[in-house]
Amino acid sequence: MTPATDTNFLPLRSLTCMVWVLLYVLVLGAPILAAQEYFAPSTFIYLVFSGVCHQIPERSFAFAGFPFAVCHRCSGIYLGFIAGSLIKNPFIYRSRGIRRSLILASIAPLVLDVSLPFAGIAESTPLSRFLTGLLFGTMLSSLFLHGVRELLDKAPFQRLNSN
Amino acid sequence: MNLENMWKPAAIGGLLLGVLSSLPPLNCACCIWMIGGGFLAAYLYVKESSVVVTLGQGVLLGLLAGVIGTIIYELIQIPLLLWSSEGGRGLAEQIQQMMEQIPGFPEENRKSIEELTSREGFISFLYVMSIAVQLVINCLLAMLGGALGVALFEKRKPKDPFSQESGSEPPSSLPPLPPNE
Repeated sequence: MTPATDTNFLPLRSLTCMVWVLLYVLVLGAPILAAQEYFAPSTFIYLVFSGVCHQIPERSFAFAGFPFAVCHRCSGIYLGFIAGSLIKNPFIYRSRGIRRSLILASIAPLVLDVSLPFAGIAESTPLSRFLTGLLFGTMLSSLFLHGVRELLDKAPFQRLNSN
Repeated sequence: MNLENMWKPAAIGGLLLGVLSSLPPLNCACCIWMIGGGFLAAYLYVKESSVVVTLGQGVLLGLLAGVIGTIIYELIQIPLLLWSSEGGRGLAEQIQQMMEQIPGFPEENRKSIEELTSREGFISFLYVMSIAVQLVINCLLAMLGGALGVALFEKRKPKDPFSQESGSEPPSSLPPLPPNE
């Protein structure tokens, strides 16, 4: 990586973390606003997330009796995004083989948690859905951060800085 | 980084994202289609690319797939909303269904939101705002999927082990070394 990007990495990590935090604030904001009887903005948030989540109340965490804007699994994934942007994962930056193994190790529990109930072997619980989503989201966020960093390395303004 | 070659895989990934996330009951699969759109775009691009694809290119592919997918999603949703009832009433009914799902939703607030949604222009404003926010969320999720796809499917190593420019053009051939005399 170019030195210019290395010195900018902390702001990039902070900015990415802020984006994920904002996303999760919206997820939490829906039930909080509803509990405070601000139903119009609350319903708007539910409407926005209806495109990315089934929002089944029985499969979602709740606050003051109002469900989160996304389900248990998505809540874990979005929290994982935040965690992944905060935790420095050195293995993401090293061997591709190790990186691939880590990715598969983080996807496998999620796949099992989704598929085992369909097969009638085991039932998923709110905790299993949340934790498998958290693991998946953390890995995904680390990859994303690395990818954005590589993208910025090749951005036209980097050539201007080096000239 | 060749953007021209990215449009086709991004379009295919966006098609997956847009179509599957708007078809019931497939749209109950949470954000998997958004991530899957970027994932598919990355897979197709890695298969077609003659040079090593970087995570950054995967992120960019995901962004393109997210934009295209959101456009396709809205192109499918708009006729459905228009067909389900008269114009914006389709969206108003969707909002009312959403309110009914919220446990303990007070009746007086339901009526106030019904009055709000019956105002002319409000539904259009609400719909445009929701499209804008969904575009951002879809793009973010698709970018994640793009990075994931490259990380899983790109197994080639950069030619120059000391270079991080793994997606760049191959270096020009060097002249042969002079023979030892």
